[in-house]
Amino acid sequence: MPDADRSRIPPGQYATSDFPVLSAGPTPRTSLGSWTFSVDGEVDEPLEWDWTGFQALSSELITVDIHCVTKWSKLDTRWRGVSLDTVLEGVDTAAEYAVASSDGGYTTNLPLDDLLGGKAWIAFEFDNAPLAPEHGGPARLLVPHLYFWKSAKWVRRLTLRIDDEPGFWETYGYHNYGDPWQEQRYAGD
Amino acid sequence: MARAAVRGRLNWQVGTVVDLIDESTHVRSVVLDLPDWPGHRAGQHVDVRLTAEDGYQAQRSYSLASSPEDGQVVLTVEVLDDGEVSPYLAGELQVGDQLELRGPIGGYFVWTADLGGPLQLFAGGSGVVPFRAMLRHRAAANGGVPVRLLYSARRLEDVIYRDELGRLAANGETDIRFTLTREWPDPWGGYRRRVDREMVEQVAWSPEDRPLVYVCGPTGFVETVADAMVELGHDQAAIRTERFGPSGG
Amino acid sequence: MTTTAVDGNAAAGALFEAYGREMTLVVATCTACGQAGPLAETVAYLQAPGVVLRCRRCDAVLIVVVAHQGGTVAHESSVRLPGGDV
Repeated sequence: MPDADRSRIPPGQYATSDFPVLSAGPTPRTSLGSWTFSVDGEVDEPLEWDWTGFQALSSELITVDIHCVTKWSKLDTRWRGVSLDTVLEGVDTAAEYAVASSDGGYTTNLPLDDLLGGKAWIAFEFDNAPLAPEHGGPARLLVPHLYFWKSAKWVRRLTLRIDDEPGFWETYGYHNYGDPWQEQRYAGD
Repeated sequence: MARAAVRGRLNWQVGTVVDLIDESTHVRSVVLDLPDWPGHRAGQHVDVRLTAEDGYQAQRSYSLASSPEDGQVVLTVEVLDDGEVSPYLAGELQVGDQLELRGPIGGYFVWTADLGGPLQLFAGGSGVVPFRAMLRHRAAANGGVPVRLLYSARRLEDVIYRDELGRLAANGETDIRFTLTREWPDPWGGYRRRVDREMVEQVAWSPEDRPLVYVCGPTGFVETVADAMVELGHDQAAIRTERFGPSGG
Repeated sequence: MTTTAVDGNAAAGALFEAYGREMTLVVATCTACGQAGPLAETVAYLQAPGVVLRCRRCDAVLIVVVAHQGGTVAHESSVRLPGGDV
């Protein structure tokens, strides 16, 4: 790999051209007709969109590198999604943390700051096609600057919180924050 | 609640490939020499770990195809499109190469001659691998238990161990039947469809015979057979299952 | 159910590393729905940052095995294992 590309691979990672499917449970099959996405918790009023409403929000095409804690990295992945800046526009909150919840019960937590400032999206297309269920479709959270377990597949809800609450892998010994460039894989790293 | 690791006896050991046997166009058996092999029971498996030149590691489980009496460790590997480990083992691996593996592991999907029978085996695709070990063990133990094997494959070319199964079937008290699910030769005396309850009923002993039942293959195959056997009145506790994904294990 | 799930047999190595002994014959009870059976018969998800064993009846997470440089740890969730000793 040329040196220019190597600088895009965090420590301990290996570049892949595949897109491995990793899952902690069965693949949910949620119809677009029943899909909703909501923001609740430390907000004046919970927000909710159905699929049509969500598609009406302005979305963008982005190209990002993604890094899985199981050591594969995939460069230049292309997605379409709604920025969390758009989703949370106008939301007044004292919350410093967020928990993303998904169909099937998966959760992950992160500081609210890591969702804002152009760093996170609710993504519903990959490579110019609707996001496949095994990769998190209809929509997943996409937070490329953290290990990819933070990019919750099948995301349905974002709960804003005053205090932090560890999600699924965080509870089972993975790092609470998960910065691939600091190689924060496990708690205590 | 978390439990800390306790030192068990399951260590990674290095084995050397001493022979490679083409079982079919997509399947190859790998014969290994392992100096510290502790012996095993038919039905157990090993975890194989590959480390690439750049340090990337991949790991996969394989059933042991050899019987305890064979004195060699044999794995049978199917090439799979999406596999990380299997294409290497079934394709590029050469005699003299080394592999890291740990095992034998697995205490559930095991048959030893002292368990008796009759034996009822259902194999879906590469699910037949642990049954080769069981049948060889049975022959070596002069086991007189009657055995019935139903082996499902896509085409006749995908059936592995054909000659060996033929020899075993010729030797009394061993009933081996095939079902081909995609294509079959003409003439063909076996079944011509995916396993279903009717087929299971035709090949199975009755519950009164109290067979020891082992089902191994892709998840869908295993669930169909296991459900059918329970519906036919067999004791759930007498049915042992081993499922692998469509990737073949 | 996803077809990529396998059963607890495939987790035998990871479970051995975590518990220090063969675990696939151990009868586990799901505390979410009461289903009981050998760990070999649970649904195992291996392609993940850890090995996840789920109840075959209700999908509840039973055991999560995570391996890292310090060792391999089994986290028990909605499961009751016999004995309580190792």
